[in-house]
Amino acid sequence: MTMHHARHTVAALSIALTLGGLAGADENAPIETATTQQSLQPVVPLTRQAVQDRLAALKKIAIEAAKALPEGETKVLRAIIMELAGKVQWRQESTGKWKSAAKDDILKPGAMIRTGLHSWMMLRIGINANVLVDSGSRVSLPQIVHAGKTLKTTVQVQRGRADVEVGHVGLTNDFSVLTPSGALAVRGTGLAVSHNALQGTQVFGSRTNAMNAIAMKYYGSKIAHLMSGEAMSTQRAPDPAAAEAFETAGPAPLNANEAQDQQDAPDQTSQAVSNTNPVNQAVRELLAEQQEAINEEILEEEFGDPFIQDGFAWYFGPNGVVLPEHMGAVATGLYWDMKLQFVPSHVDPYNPDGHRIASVFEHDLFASTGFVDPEREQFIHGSEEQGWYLDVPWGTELPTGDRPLPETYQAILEYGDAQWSGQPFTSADDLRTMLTFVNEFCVTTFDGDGNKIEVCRQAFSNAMNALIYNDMQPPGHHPGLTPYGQGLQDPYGGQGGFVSGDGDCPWCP
Amino acid sequence: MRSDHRLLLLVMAATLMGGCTLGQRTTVDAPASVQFPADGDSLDFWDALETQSVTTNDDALHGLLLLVHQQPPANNWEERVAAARSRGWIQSDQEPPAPFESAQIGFVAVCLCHVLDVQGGLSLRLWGRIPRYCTRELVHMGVIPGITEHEALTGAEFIALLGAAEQRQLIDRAWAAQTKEPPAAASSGEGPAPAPDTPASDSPSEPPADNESTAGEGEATS
Repeated sequence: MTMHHARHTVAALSIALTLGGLAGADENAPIETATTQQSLQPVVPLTRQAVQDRLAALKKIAIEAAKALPEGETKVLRAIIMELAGKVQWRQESTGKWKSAAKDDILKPGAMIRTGLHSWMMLRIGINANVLVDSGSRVSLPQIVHAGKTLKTTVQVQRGRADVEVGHVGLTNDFSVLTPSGALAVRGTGLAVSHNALQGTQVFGSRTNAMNAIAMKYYGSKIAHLMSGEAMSTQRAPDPAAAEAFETAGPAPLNANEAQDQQDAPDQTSQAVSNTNPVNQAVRELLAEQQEAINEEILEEEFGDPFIQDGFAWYFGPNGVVLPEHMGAVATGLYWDMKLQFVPSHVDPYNPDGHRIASVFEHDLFASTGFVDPEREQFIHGSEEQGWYLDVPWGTELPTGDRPLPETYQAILEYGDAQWSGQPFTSADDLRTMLTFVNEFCVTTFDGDGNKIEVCRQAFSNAMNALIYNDMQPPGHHPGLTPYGQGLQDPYGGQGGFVSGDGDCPWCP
Repeated sequence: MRSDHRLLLLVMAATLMGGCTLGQRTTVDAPASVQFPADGDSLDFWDALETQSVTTNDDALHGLLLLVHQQPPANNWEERVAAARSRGWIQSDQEPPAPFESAQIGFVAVCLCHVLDVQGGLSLRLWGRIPRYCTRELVHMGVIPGITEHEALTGAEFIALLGAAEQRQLIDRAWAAQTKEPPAAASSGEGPAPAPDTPASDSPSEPPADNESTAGEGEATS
């Protein structure tokens, strides 16, 4: 193997290994999208072939990210804080509370930023722009979207200075900088815009070298590196040798983007630079990784396997309360509790009321988050002094309508109706699907608030634990169905339909 | 003709009576420095000051002390005056201005002359750092626009002025680094403490450290 090839191999392995670090970062995801995107399952590549396969897949995804969307389709992008110094604060809403900025914080469109004296912050915005917010500035980000074949970004400089660099990724750049006295468009290079009360709006050249240095430092900090031979390290600190190889040779280019850069370049010199500039190449590659990590994280954290998600895992997870062989029975209990407003006597001879899970779930959810469905507001009790609580009586009809909570219950019911064969469910997949509906409710209702999403899942798990299945069953506190859960396994009481009366209840006195 | 004389006399009388108020400076009851006196509130201070119609002396000293990283932080007018005296911005035999009155650009210019260690030309060297010549020197340097030493500044203008002063500090540091000499302000024992890395001082071989956002460098992080 030649030295040249060896360098490329080192760089490629380094990039692939970066995924592990990025996947572990909190919300390290500048892109939020509702569009279908390709993703890779998070794995730790342990062999050279696995790394190379993964790198090839990443390249493919990176190229896909820079493609035009179908007409009319838009993606909301985000900004990520790459570096900062001094005192910097940001808030997402104009009425929100300011919070201190930290590296890797994610800012959505509408975010506002302010910096103190001797302070600055560098942002990566969407997939093609870097913005350096200088000291004493107040800047907001009203728009960051990928619409069709255009990247639309707006940066508003209310006071202070912002340096902007906009790169070519094969899409049309519509990058605007607004100031109190005017608007400027950045077509694909860079500029700095300053606005203050003494001199008004001024335009300068951007501090390209400083910004590139900061960007390289940021991306470099995300790279794990190859030690030697087949040995690999997960250390995140940049290794001098790997950094040198990375900086001088750069990773293998993304050919599509590189070709687009050349096509966009106004002259041959720029073409040459775009083709050979290791910074361009490195940034492309690392952006690809970053996006991949985002996709993985979004899918894993929000819409992945519900059994392993925070709030569900302690109850449904591999080491949770519910034993794998009982997953189907738990799904059966959930379905029939949702189905039956009133249960037959063999299910519960003492209380005929059903819909208990909804009642307990909503009670906990209201106590933890204040969420209440409008149809349930009549069941809020308490006072300002003693606190408010939601008490939906068992047997109360489930809410209906085009709202998240009724739709969640309805989805569980429709799934159960479609799958019910007259016998209890036996597959964990049935429970997994039902939980997916609940998870979607939690994620969409508390969008962006990870704590509340987890609390929502927790509330549902608590309800299931209290009513259907727990590890407190006799004899000896074994995991198993509660009497109510057991009764729901055979709602017809061995008959073709519901029966009244008693004598079919194994735990009845 | 007689009526013209009467009118003239009336105008003169009104001018003399009004003269008492013409000499007074604008005051602000609750300036930004009173609303947000602590170092940790500095970003709120700047936001509040930006909307203020005039910058008071208290605001000006608070802002200038933030610029030079005053340690320990001065949290009220008396402490700010004491800090200003220790830095030579206010002479020991000089009465400080009223805290809630609009600051004269001359007063701010004297402070900035100390912060930036402006040596000036012949007049400044002969007469020392007095409002008139400090103002003229800063106008000459392009730090402030062509205004006279008695004028006031709006809050937004004062913020812009401090921004220009900070840029000047960066330029001084860059010059000092190029000539392999310590910055003039630092070498004189006055002026700002070494500032944290800023983009102008970054280089690929020495990027800013990860922990620069922590308290202790720059303004304290809340």
